[in-house]
Amino acid sequence: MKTLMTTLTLILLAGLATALAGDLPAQAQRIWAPAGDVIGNQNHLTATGMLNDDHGDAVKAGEELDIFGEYLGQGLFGWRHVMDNSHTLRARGLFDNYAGGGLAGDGMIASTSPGTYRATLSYHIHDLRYDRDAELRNPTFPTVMPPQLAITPELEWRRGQAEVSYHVSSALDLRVGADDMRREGRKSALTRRNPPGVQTVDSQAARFWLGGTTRLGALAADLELSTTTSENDRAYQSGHVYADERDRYSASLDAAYDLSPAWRVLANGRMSRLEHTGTESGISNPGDTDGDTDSAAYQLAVLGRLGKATTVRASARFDMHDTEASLLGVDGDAVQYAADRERDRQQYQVVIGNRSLPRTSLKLRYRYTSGESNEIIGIGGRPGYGLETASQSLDQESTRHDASLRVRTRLARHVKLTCSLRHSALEVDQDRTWDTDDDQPWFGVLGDHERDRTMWRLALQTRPSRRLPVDVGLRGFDQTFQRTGEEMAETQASMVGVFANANWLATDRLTVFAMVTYGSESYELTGVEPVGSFEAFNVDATTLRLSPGAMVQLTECLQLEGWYEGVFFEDTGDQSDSLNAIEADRDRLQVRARWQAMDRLAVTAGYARNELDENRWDDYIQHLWTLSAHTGF
Amino acid sequence: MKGLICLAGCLAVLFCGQIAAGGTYLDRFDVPDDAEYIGSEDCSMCHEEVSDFYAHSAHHPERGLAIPGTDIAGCEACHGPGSVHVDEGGEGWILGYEDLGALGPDGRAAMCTQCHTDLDLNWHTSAHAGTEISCNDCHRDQVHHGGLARPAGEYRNQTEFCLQCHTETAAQFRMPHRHRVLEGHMTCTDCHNPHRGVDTGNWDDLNETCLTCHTQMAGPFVFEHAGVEGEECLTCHRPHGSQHDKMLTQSGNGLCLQCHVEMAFSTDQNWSLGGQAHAGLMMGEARCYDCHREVHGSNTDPTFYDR
Repeated sequence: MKTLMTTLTLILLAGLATALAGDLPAQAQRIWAPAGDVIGNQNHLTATGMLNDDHGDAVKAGEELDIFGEYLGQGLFGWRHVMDNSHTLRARGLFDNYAGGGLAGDGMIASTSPGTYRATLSYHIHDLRYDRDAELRNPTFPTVMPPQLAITPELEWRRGQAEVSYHVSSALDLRVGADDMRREGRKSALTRRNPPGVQTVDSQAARFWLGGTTRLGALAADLELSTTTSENDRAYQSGHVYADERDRYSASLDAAYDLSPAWRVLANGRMSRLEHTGTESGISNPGDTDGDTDSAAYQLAVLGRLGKATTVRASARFDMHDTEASLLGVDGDAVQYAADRERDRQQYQVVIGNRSLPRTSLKLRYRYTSGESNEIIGIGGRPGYGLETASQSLDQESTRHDASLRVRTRLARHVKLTCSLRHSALEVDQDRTWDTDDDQPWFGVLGDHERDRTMWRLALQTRPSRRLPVDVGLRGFDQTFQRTGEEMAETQASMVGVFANANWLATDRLTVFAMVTYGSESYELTGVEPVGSFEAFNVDATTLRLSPGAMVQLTECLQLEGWYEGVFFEDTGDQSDSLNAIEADRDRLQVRARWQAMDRLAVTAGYARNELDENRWDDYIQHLWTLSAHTGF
Repeated sequence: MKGLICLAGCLAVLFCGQIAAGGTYLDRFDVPDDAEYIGSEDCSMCHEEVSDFYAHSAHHPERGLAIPGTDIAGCEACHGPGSVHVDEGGEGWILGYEDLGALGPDGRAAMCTQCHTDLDLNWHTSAHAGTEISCNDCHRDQVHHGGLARPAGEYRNQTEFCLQCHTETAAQFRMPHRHRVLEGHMTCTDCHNPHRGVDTGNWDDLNETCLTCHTQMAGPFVFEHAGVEGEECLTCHRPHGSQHDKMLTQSGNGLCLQCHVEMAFSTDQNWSLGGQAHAGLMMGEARCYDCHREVHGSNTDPTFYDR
């Protein structure tokens, strides 16, 4: 019904706009932007006030008020100044006080001298609030309301970034940057022992990088060095406490050499070292943790043109990982567990592109990957030193074939068809050995297994008229997973989806757009008869997303826009005793009116209605009223 | 060892080869033999509006930025040597809009990357390469003939700019469990580099992109789930957005059971997994990772159990 009302409203707006057709520009869709927001490089300042009104399930509505707040404010500004020598300064910011918290948002300043340097500095502060019960959403839940946390978990998230690039000469560019991210507070976390629970987080990650690009004749190269330091302190309500420190050092080199106008050789190399130390406590076997991983990867590739219509890319890549990790006793006095793990991977790829057929391009890709992995884990001592009291090792070999074909063709002047097909086949052989007191394996592994995946896509891009682009398409995914060792079993997962997207510039004053997607997904075990409530783990779900909208310039001073989005999810594959199907509908309706009161003053009023309707327990409606003023200067 | 041999071979090719000078997009045109580079001063006499367009751009002739290793700058860097065009009063040979447009996307990219060397190195691996997209489609306000996209300067942030084409991704960002990109906490380029890909050429492998922020998942662990190094994070997660918590590809236990299912599971009333009866847990409200919480890796338990 709501959809019908929305459609009727849009048709009415379309008719009105057609009658008032003039020479004002049609608007692009920006349905995600906040009310009163502006785009462009002009100097501007926008202030917005919001009122959040929640209805429906009292508990859920109260929780939404906790997460979002009732009275909200938001400010947006942009400033740009170009000097006579073209030196440009820019500043932008978006700030809010959601949920009654302190000032939060994003700010950025940049200084640029075209062709000489560019410097940017940005900072983000946000308070994230978590659903008291969001992590409990699960199809196997009964229809009763699950337990809730007494308070809304809150996490402060801060991130600062700075980067400077400098054009030294025509042969050399340099760049340097830093990124710092911190999280502090609590997240909701389901813990089996005492659901629901919270996870306390105090973490920091800082990254610094230095790089340079050079070009000397036919040779071009880029070198980057970086280091990342992170600290992660976490504590679960269950009692498990972590304190981790990690350092990563990386170096990468990309180089290219033009052999001829048509052929180029590329080489890439990357090396990194990850070091980790930490402690874990509040569990049955607490201790200190210690580990490091050395990684290296090299690639050699050839890129070239064969004639005017064919391009070729062939590459070989080699990856190596060497890991040692251990759990020591408290204060590092003895080894509890220790692992020594080596992985190698070789990858060969060829990509051929061709445009020799009229109005058609083809791209064929094939990639072969083989890998070996050797792992040994010991109890009581590091593997290889003879001190371990028990150990288990795993030798693994894997092969993978990936092939894809993509065809694009122009069927008519304004009709393009794209077809793509990808297939991947993975085969893994695992050989496990152990040396334990009871001569039984210490822990299980997946064993030999195979996985086949096929993905395909058909898309038609059309433009029935100059003002009406329409895209429609169909895509699918199929996967078969087989355990071929002792634990033989097979699962199948599949998905099919159709989508359509249209953006109609009906008149110079009116834009109408619509997007529709419909998909089905299923998951099942095959080859066995259901036993008891076994079918509870099958998934047979559909999702429909419908999103029509319109923007109309009614008069020179008044612009209206309306947009509806509905997501309808249904899973009938769940056959558990308590619930036969899951139905979750989400409706969003948004309307806005923008009035250009004066040359430099515009006022925007908006209303948004968000509804979540589940057949379990989560029904609620949110009304959001907004009023904003925008000025240019 | 194989890697070292490969690298040595590569370096040998790079530094020992004196085979030929690098080619440019100009090699695809029949440039008159008598055409010479004469500088851009004469261009603005007739093409004043273009000169004004570039007034504050690095491309303006006054910046004097030349193609690396040459003295070719300004208009001629893209439109080729202008002497014939000027000598014949604007009628002679020059690479005009029609000529450059006929280059095709890869040819236009080659024109830009003769100066933008850093982008030249790995453009061919990017998802945009090999499509209809080329530099001018996104950097429309940097060149005086636009492409498919509206100018980046018209957008409040970089995310909105990308989403004007990637509308499907915009829809995914409205799912209940998502990375907060539309909210402004992140941008597309925090994870994606539009000028290069992840499969070759760029050693920021897919997992490492995720682990840049999610550092606690990086290990190294004593007991490691295949997902951390052997598989991709995307095997289980949809980073743009999902109906399911933790941005999982599928709800509940079905995701884990795609791989961790055994014959005994389906024939035994106890739903045996790893020799343990799981029926009571799965019929209740439990999910696999409620107990096996350290699913990315553990230093204390081989089954990633929290105990």
